[in-house]
Amino acid sequence: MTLVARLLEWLLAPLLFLWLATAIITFASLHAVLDQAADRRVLDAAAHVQELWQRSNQSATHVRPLLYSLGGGGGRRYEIGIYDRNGLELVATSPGQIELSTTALHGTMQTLIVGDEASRCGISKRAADGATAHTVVACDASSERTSQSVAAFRHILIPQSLILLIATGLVWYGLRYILRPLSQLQSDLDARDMNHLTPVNVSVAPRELEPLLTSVNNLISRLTSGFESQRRFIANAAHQLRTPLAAIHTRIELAHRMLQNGEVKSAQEVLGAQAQLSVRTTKLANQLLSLARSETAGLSGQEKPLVITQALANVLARSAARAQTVSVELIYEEVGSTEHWRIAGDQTLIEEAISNVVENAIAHAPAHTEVRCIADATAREIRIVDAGSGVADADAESMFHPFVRGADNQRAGTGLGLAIVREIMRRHGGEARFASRDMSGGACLILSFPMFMA
Amino acid sequence: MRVLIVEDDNELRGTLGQALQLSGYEVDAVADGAMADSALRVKDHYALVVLDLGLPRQEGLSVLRALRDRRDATPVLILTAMDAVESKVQALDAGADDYLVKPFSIVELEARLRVLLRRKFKQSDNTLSCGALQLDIASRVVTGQSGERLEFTSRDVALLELLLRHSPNWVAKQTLTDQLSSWDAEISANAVEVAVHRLRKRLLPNGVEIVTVRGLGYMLQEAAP
Repeated sequence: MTLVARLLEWLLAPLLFLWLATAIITFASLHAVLDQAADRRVLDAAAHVQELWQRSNQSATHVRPLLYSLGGGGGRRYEIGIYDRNGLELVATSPGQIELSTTALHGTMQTLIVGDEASRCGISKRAADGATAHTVVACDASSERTSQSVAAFRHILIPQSLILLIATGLVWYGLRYILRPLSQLQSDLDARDMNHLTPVNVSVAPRELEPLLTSVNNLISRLTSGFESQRRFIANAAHQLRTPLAAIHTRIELAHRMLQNGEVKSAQEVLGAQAQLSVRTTKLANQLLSLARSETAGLSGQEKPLVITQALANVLARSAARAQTVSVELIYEEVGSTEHWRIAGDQTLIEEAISNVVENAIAHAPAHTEVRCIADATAREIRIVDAGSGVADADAESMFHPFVRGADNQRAGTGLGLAIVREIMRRHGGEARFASRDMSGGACLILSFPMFMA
Repeated sequence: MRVLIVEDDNELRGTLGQALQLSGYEVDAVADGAMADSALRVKDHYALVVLDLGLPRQEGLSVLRALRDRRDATPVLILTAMDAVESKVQALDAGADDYLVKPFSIVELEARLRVLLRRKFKQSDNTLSCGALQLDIASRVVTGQSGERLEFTSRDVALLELLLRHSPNWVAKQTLTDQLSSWDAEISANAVEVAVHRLRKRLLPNGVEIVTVRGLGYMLQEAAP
């Protein structure tokens, strides 16, 4: 819903209500005032006729012209009748039209039936020659009165509606005026492409918008640094993929050359080794994907609690066979009450992290040594200790950067494993690091987990 | 010609070495910067160096700078995945003679290596000659007096190339031993002597003589008619 619509909705309903209320009140008061004036006129007319009736000694011939002129000729305004004390009609503008009520008092208004419709009638009673009292009744049609009121009301209503329309127009225009900085902002943002991530200029916007824009700018700067690191990563990944590609290319050229020299057997050998190369390139691609996935995988915050030792046990079960083929013994140890040690996290990701570390340790451990996997519930960490050549303290931190490989690493590593581990651990509020080197020499990698907030 | 390949990718290192060996180079290959640095400590041990930039233990650039700091002018070709202009400029300014971005073609790499050798020995083209004897470096074909093709073993062609490159100057026997050996296939001074002896006999009919300078080495020159 737009701001304009919201404001108009909020403003127009009361405006309309007010307009209606004023209209009703105006109509009612107008009607009352006009009614009073009309009543007075009717009473005056009745009194006037009474006067003439008495003065002319109740002569119908004298009174008739007056009745006729008051009755208004063609477009008659009043019905007037003169009655004796028994209510017998003596003279009338329209004979037999008025149903007189004999209880009517002098000088009052009464509603009588004239013809077929109810009309307001003024009563004038005066005693003539002693005992005989004559009643003069003057009536005007109620419908006439109402139509008068309506006509007057219409004269007021038209300007009032115009004022309402003008007010609405002003509100509309005012809103557009107020919102103009927003549409400027909008066109500024619309004109941007995905690489144009400079902050929005806060100083030109109205002060009320500043907090919002500051938040937007903060978001933009977070996005920028995210994009930047992603860009760096992609550039790095492209470089890393170039080397195996170069190897494949070189190998094919070499085989081609050997075939030209007629050395079919050597060419076959060269091409045969191509398969291993493909396996390695595939592994690199897979790890790149896995890193990208762990970087983008949003934890919903509603992960089910998982038992760390269970995840570790799963990983060890999967790695046991590989350890055996290189004559490395996997040893599982527990410290503290591990059965209650849970965290909220993604089981697959956590196992992937642990698995990377364990596989790393197995690969670096010399034959006939142990890799110890210690689940320490007290310190809330998993320690994977091998008896390999270890990592120098100076190199320890850089080992977690993508594409950095250990010095002695002559194996087919991609240099991504530990970067993935760290990414996953940080996603879960934990950390991955090497313990500083001690006398024993081998590497000890620590995965520390956060407290479980249930 | 003895080449040092410094490349941390096992596959690429192996294949590249194999390809260069096939083209008549003697190849030593190492996987990290520190090993490259110690291999390059012996001055003029290698005719050429193919150097990767991103290396474990010691960066390629630092190996290169250390080499140039020792006033060693051995031609260095940088072979890397980094294609940014800045890294090219940085490497060339640090003393690299050429820069090739992965993935590359072996043919191009070899052509560039030939350029580096031509420059090193101050030659203008790929044909080395002494009298009527000619050696095409690219195709490794030797032609004799009447333009006929002479068949030699690749070891003999390599020996002939070394003598021709240095001609009309003499070549130390130690240089020949160094350049014709690799870590995988060391040859002795005796083996060099035998090879020279064999080559001398084959060249004489073509009007070219290998002169022995006692205590110094060998020299190729036109035989007196």
